[in-house]
Amino acid sequence: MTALLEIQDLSLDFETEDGTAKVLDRVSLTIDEGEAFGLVGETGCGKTVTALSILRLLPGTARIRGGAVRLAGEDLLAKSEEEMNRRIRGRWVSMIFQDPATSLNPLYTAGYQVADVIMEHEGLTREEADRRVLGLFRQVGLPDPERIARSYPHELSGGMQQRVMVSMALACQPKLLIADEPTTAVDVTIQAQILELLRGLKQDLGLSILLITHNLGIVAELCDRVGIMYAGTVAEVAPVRELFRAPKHPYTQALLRALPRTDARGHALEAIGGMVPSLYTPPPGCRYHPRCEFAMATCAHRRPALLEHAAGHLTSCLLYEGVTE
Amino acid sequence: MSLIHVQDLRKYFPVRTKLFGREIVRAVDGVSFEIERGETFGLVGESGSGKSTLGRCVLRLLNPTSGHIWFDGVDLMALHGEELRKARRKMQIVFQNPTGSLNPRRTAGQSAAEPFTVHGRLQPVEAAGRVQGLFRRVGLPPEVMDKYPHELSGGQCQRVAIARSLALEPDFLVLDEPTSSLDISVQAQMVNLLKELQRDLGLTYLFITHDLSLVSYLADRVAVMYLGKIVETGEALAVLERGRHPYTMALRSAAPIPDPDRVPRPAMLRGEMPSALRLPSGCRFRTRCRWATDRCAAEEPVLREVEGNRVACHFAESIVEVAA
Amino acid sequence: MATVTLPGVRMRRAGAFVSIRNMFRLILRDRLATVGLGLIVLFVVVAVFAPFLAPYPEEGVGQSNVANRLQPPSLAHPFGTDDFGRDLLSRVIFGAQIALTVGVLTVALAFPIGVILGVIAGYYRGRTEEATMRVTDMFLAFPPILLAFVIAASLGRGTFAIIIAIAVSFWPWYTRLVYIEVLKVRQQPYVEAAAAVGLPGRRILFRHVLPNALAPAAVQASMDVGSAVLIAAALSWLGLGPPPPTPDWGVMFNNAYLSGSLITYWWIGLFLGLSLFLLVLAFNLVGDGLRDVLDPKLRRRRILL
Repeated sequence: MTALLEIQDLSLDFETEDGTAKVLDRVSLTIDEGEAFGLVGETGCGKTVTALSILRLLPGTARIRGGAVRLAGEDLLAKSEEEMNRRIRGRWVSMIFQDPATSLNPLYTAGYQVADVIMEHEGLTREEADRRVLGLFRQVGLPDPERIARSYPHELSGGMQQRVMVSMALACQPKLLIADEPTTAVDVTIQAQILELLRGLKQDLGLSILLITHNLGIVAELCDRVGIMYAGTVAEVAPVRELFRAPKHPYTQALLRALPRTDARGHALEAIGGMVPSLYTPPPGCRYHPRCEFAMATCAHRRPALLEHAAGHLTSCLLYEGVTE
Repeated sequence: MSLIHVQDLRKYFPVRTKLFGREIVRAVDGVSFEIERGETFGLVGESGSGKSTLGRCVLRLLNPTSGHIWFDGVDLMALHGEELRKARRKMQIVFQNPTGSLNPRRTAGQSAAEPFTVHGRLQPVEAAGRVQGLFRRVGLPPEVMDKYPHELSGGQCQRVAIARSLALEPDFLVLDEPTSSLDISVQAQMVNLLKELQRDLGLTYLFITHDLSLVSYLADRVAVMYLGKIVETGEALAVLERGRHPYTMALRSAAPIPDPDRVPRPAMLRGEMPSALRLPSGCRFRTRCRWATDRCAAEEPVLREVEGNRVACHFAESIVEVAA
Repeated sequence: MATVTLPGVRMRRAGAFVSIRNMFRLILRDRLATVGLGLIVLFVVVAVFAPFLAPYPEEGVGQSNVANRLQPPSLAHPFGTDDFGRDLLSRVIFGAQIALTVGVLTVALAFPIGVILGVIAGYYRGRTEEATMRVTDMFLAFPPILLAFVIAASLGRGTFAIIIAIAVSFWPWYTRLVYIEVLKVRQQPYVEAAAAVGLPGRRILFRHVLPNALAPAAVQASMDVGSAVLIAAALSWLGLGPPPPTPDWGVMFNNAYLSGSLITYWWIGLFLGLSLFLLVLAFNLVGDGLRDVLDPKLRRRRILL
């Protein structure tokens, strides 16, 4: 498996009027071709920022402090805006967002918007693009593509809107699809359909998917490998089965225990004490140590590195570096 | 006698769809159930099922179009004005959006104290003392009293909202997706808090959610709603794990479980929920049901006993869940 | 774009609350608004201390000095003198009193009326809403100046008439702005929560709905003070203002125009116009600053993740 995307030690700050928020601190992960990678974390962990860094869609207040983002060997951080637009965004890497209703322009029909993307990147005429659009709509499982192409976004249901978004993302045959919480805004039965669609695309097209979510359930259903983020750092990366069976990082373990399950009926859920730290003044050393049940003295001043402690299973925790106090 | 007894509740909304036409959205269309004292009753459904509308109707926050609601033997539909407001003391609601349910221009302490100023006619000093007590009970430090909602996290706002709802010592709480906008770890804290409060204060909950794992963890009994009707109801685990209605089975199949070894089943439902303006004839679920027959289009099924649950499906006994 | 929250980052989310304290602090960060605020303070000081600041206070209020008529600006008379030899600077200073009074009183009169009507219409809906908004629409159909003119003309001359006239033409704007906002606010969860707690309708209206619906109308009101002064000047110029020798700026324009000196002698028009311009500008700048602070949609900085 060749690595399609490699993020290496990416560090990023936001300069706001309230100070400098250290949003990402040496984030590293790799996604292979044809693989679905789930990036999981709670609010503020930096998963969306990481994804936006790939496409360089960060806000003006963002400052990259170090690290590299390599797509098929090419460093994306070094590219010009023009090249990003021409070759990367929408072509090599595409993105779909959480709320399809606001991601589609209400003034144009679905078909028009998708055709626009095709025309922009591939220089086809509108007729040629429209034909491609119908094919794409069929590919994402939209019934009656002609009617959908003529419809405006508000005339479509949430599930159909999301499929239109997916088709727009697929329009120029990207290698990597970034899906930012694609099913949070839709019902669970529609969510199942969307996940099935993504699974199919991965299989049929060899598409790599970066799935950003806070829902461990859909990660278990769709992803091959999973990365857990906490407060701007990567806590753990592992193949999906291993992550659920044998999580190494204390945060991952705590997160899994906090999920409500039928077999936990009658017992209190294991909540994680404390709160997510402020990114303006992150804790020194390991960012999780104030809430960690295994915290040692060293954890407060030495930041653990993301190391491979078992095959394909990386974690950043001093417990696995042989530190005992 | 049950604490809440809802009978044939209907809530219709008139909607103007065309220039001269008025159509009716039957958001809640003939729903009946009972909630026992001290129990957690789960109401499950997707958006458009009418569960939130039903929750509000039970409190008469929305006025039902018809039907009855008995609260501790008293017919809520017969109360008006002052009597109704007095009855409201005993039943409260916690909303989905924690920050939005607090007035942005008032501090947490002021918001939580508001019920006192209306019903209890307390002096401000007394009210502040009571609020402090409430905050302690929901796990908030007293400093939070002077903060504004936008200065607090989602979890803290939700605790403030819960504190406010407890101010008048209600017996019954409607919880409308109280944790769906919260992170996993915060949700766990919130759920623990709700259970603790229920135990300590003897509360009865109507817990509205779309999250099956949460409701299977929390609820004693459950009702599954689809397009304004209850399609299945019974003991929580019996419904959620062994439900006989095709929709219940579809929900179970679709709900993502954090277990990678569970083979993903093909999505069971075709299509999408029909518009509430154009309800299918007979069984409302038939347009998405793979077992639908002509009888389903002609005759609307009613809730009937099937293996311990009450199911509204003509073929509940004979449908066997398809193994993946 | 996904909007994400960063823990500990104070994000000004849409509709985030800005207290009165914070408002001042935030406006002062905006340089243009601060300039506007400074100008307003200047005008207020000038108006309040007019008798002490005007170099020729008696001339300021009306006493003529015909020997000095129509002198160009000089050290003795920085703004020159008018048709009656009165020091223009003193006249302008005393005129500031009237201008500010008219501007502020007009808005102070129109604003509460407009807001209350808008709140009632938006909250109670139904027939109240229909009736109120149709009346509002009728008033809005008239150009403000025209409406004010008609009302002032029927009320007779004088500052008082002008204030009433302009207030009557302004109130519907506030009604409309508040009405729209109330429609939005009443759908917010916290309004529903207030009802759930058992608060009576009126309390919900005034405690929860009204304070959160005021922002757009308040911004408009702050800018309207300047507009009111302009319209008042126009009405005075048209002959509806207070009688001479009142140092009302519009009246001064009128006099100079009628006597022909407005065209012939450059300093009269220039300094009168400049004063009017600065006053209106000041209120507009503050209004802009207020809007940037209160209205999240128009704010330029926003953290989008």
